[in-house]
Amino acid sequence: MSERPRDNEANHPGRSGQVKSRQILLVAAASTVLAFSGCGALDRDAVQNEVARAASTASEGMLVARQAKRDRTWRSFTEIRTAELHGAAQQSEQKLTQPTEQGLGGPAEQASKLAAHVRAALGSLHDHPDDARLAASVERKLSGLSHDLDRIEHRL
Amino acid sequence: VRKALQIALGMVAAFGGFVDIGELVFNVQAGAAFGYQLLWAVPIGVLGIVTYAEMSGRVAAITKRPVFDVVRQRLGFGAGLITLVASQVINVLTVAAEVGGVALILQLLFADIPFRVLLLVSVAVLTAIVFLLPFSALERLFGYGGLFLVVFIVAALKLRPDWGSLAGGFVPHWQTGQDTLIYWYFAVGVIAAALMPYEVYFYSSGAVEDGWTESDLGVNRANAVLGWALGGIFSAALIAVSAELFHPLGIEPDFLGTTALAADVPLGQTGLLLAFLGMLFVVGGAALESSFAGAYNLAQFLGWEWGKYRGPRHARRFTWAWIVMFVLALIIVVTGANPVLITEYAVVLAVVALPLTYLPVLLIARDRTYMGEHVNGRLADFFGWLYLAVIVVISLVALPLLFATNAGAG
Repeated sequence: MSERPRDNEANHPGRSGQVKSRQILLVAAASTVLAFSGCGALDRDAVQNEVARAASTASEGMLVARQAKRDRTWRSFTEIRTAELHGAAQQSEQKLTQPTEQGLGGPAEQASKLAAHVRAALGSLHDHPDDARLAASVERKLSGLSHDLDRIEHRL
Repeated sequence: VRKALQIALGMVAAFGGFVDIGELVFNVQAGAAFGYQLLWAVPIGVLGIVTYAEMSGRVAAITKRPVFDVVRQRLGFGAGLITLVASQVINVLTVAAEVGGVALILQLLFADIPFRVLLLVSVAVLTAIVFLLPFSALERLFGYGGLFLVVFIVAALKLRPDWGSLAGGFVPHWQTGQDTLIYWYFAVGVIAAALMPYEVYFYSSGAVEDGWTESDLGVNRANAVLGWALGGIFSAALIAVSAELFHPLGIEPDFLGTTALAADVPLGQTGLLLAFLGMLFVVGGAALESSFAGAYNLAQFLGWEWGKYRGPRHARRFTWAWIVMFVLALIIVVTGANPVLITEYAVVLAVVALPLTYLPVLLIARDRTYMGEHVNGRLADFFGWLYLAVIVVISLVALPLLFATNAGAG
């Protein structure tokens, strides 16, 4: 039985170059996948963007709560908006617990805790959209949380 | 008197039908991110759509050829096919964004009903409305209903705008610094949202559906120039209200509900109701316009019988085509794709296909063999070429900006 020729450079001149280009392509593809999938440590921009998003969620929640407090909106609107914003706060909270580049861990952890408070406040209003007193307290809470998150964002 | 009334009604319908989900998303985001600074992009987009809508309406009235007929004739089969495929992809994405938008708006009213049920209901109701109503009634129903969006103009005024900054926003300026790319992404988005190609496909085919002739050129001019130019006021009001309410608080609007909130805060429940109705009509209207645009393009390119006025029996393949557009859109949104995100992609991708759509229209509109005495004048030619250049530049930068800015998220 004749031995099958080995697939080496002697048999295929120029193959080495092809293999190298393929490896480079693979590395590039892997880096792209990693970059787009959000794996790897969060850099300063990513942390800052997520903190800003959490602050935005808190501010928008504050407006929704204010309208509920004044009875100037519909129950269904308060319900669905608090549910949407609750989901957004949860996303920020989770994203900020991901590993970060050196020196960013503290602010990210602090912001993640604040995002959890935002989520909780929105959740309570979602459960009782008609409660004007609760809405007033949620409005105050979210206003404070939004300022705290803004401060973290500016420190970064 | 009858003619004047026809012109006025058409103009009002065009006025109310100008805005779609693209403006509801991009303009509110632009105002929240940059205050009044991007207001200048509104007249640029409006002038572009007015230029090409007037031209395509005139071409349809004189030659009886709607846009895709012209595209195939001037570009030939190969390039025409590429334009067809590109525009159909964008049309399907647009229908998906719009029907998803209708379901999202309904969910703000019916919080307890699951989104997918509302989506199915939206598509079923839209399909039934399209089946039952004649073409002119469809145009008017959604166009007049869109006038509820006047609530955003009232809201912007109630929030007491800073008139100096607002006027300054209409002066284009070169943004520098950290947010430069995001600024240009939103500038492109605001311009592109006004220039969505389905509007021109629908408008010119609608002219043929309505049986426009030379005597309707006045109606065409009034609809395109006055109706759509006034519609631009809604577009600007969305930026203004967002600049006043969301920008100072650093709110990044990622939901359609945020747009409704902009009417709720200054005007309370009445404002919210009017905002819902306006949004429902403009987004629902755009859903049917974009589904029809897809069916028109396919039928005109392949030489099928087409037109709502022919009825489903005589234009069977055309009827199936718009139904299939709705079904494809439904499938896309049912998979869980976010309609707001689909809108952003549809608007930005649409820009890339714009030059291939608008160039043939311009070439026919300035060709005396087809147009006779109604050939482009100097002004139409000037704006036609100018906007073609603008569209080419925008189409080159749109995708890099989309990816570089992570769809404006930074």
